[in-house]
Amino acid sequence: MTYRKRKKKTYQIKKYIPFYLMMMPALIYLFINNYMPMPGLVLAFKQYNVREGIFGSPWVGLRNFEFLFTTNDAWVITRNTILYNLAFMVFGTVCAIGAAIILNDIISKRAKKAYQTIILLPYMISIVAVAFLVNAFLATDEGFINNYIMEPLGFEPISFYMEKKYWPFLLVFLNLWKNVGYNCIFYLANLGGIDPGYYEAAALDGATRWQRFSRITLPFLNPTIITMTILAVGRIFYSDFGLFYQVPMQSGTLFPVTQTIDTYVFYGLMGGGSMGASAAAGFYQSLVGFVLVLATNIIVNKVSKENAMF
Amino acid sequence: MKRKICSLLLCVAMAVGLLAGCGDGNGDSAGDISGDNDNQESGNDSDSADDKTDSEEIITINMCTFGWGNVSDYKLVQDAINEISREEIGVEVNLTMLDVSQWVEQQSLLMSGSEPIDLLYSSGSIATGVSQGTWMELDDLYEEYGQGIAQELDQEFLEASRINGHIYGIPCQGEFANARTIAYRKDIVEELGLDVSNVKTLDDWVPIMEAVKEAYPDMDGFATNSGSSQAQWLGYNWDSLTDNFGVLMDYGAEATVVNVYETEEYENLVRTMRAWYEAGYVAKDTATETESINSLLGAGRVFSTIGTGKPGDEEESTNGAGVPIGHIDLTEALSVTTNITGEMWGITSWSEEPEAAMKFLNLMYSNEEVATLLNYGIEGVHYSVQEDGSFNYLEGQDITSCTYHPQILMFWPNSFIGGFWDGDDPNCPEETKVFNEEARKSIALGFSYDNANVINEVAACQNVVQQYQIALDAGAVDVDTVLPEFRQALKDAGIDKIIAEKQSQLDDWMAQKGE
Repeated sequence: MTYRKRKKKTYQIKKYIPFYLMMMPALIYLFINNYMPMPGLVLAFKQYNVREGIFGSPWVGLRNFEFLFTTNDAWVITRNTILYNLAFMVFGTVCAIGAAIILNDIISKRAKKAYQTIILLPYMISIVAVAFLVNAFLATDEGFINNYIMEPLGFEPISFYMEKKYWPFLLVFLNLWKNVGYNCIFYLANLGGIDPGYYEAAALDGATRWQRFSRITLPFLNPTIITMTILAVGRIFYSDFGLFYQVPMQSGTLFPVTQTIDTYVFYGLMGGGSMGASAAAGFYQSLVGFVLVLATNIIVNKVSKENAMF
Repeated sequence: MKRKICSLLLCVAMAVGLLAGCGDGNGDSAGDISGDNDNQESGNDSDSADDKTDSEEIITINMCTFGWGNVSDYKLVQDAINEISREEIGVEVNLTMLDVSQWVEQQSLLMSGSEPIDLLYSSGSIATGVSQGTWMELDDLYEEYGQGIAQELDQEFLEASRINGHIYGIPCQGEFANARTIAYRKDIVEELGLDVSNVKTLDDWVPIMEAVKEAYPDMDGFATNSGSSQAQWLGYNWDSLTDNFGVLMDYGAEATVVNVYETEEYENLVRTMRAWYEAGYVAKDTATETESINSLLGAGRVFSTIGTGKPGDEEESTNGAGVPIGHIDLTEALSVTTNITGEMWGITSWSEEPEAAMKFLNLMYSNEEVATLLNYGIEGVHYSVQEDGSFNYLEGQDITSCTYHPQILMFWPNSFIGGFWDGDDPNCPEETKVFNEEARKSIALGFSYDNANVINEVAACQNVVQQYQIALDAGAVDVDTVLPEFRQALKDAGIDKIIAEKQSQLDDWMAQKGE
């Protein structure tokens, strides 16, 4: 290495020192929170015993994983988790982009801020409060829908918490209602960064609104969409525990459509379950998530290299 | 996911808080020790030395439990107790009292060995912690330092709490049996002039509910599930053998483990509930009710529910609900293992001062002053003594403003000694002892089963129960279609394997007992 090159390198490191410093708190946090507990993963393969501690406890191979797969529920909970997450991903992205575009086109700054706040509001509400809001609408005896809509119109009241067919729609709707406002912020920020010159030029050349959207807006949003999707894919085996546990009010009758991996693990291990089994469930979820993220990234790499994350 | 992160953060914050709390306590008491050693020495000069010598240092132990009510002044109580325990046994305690809601979340963390705790309350069957290695074997310690406990506690029940022949915890003094009852609004029954003295079964209850329904159309006659996701008909007149997956029917008369959900008794129960649901006695939303039964009763939304019968049950329920509550026994009182192992005090296996912890546990069990402090706090600060000897709030204080009032005392090692509260029956301890003796004993009393070999099946069955039982118990679903589904789902989840495992463990236990 020549003197000049070395000098250049030190210069570069020096140049970036402030940035490294700025990154430090986040890196330290990441290390403490995400990397330090990692050796604890061995718990998934052990029968935990307090006396011997995490590392001294006896190995049990894959026995802790059995409870997830031996039952007939394994298929139902896996299907629910994946299908709901896919629905959330697809509808969530479409609605968030739609909302972002509509918000972006509003000229009055004040109105824009007002609308944005209103659709962001549900994201801020605790899921427990949401569960009671939903209950206020759906309850059989005292619910709004049964008392003020079904009864005056002469329909039989519906026991929402006892009927499975409504819940797939309800849960997807609630997830959208809650998260669209937050997700659209990402897209809104991107839209603001697009040079209006492109649109003006396209309009001059006679491009329709749809053409302007599909040829200009979408390509600009692509990197964000891909990043957000890859992140979501990594979490496809995790479910929004609050949404699936609190909102259906733990009604057992709804389990075939509301039970996900997280709630199943919770119910199964609540009564004196083993630490090993819960660790195993978490290990399984993160493993599948990791593989899926890698797979998605490989696909993105093949389709459009410049948009891949790594 | 947000919830998870949030709860994780809370856990961490809690743990840090706990550690910090322990640290502070240690610091304080370390300061105390040096100061008090002088006193002690001078005391020892004049007094004859008791069982401790001059050179002996005062040992501090860590103890953790919770309170149902407001216990924010527990550090004051701790200091008052230390005054006594330092003199008596040369031990000081560093007490941590959590809120009941925190306790539910914290218990498994406390039991996992990460906290410096010596003496810990155990709720739920102690067998879980034993198989995980949380609890220390206490046989020798009890032999040496447990004389006060031995005097207070009926030995039959201590024997029944043994697991694999060892003592792992000391049962809290209290009722070691209970009956299933109907708990109802006594004031309403009196107001309407109804006669409930002839009610012996669930069917007898129907005319009463009908009369209440006419007078109070907005009040639901009966609630089966509320504020908890636990199914309510757990252990009716059978020994549920911890978890109801395989039980001993007919008050545990014979040592044959059967599947309760296949029995006629269970089917009759859910059919009755279905009939009540269809007749409009049970609230339509009862299966998803999240309000606690006490607030439902207190607010007049529900007239009656399933209760637990024992001496003092009416006073306890009335205190809880804030309205007069009566109990009618549906079954005889039955004593099963979890009645004893469900509320215990144990010493952790990682405790560095097990002897001091045992001495202190013995003190809590047998010293009236210490028990009074634990139960009601400090006289003149948290309560005053009335003319009849009962305790009450200070002038101008009540349940919310009193800064130390754990409300329900069954979690203390011995709440039978050390005063009684205004309105409580002072004879309750005596009555409870008689009640314990007279209760029917399951043949498996003293048998604790270890589910380690069938943990996968238990987890699967728990999910099935969650799916079907609450709705069935509440009468919210059709019995003819759902009950067979429920039974099949349990079979698929492996209930037969659990039953076989239980039966073989029970047979072994019976054989050992016979020897």
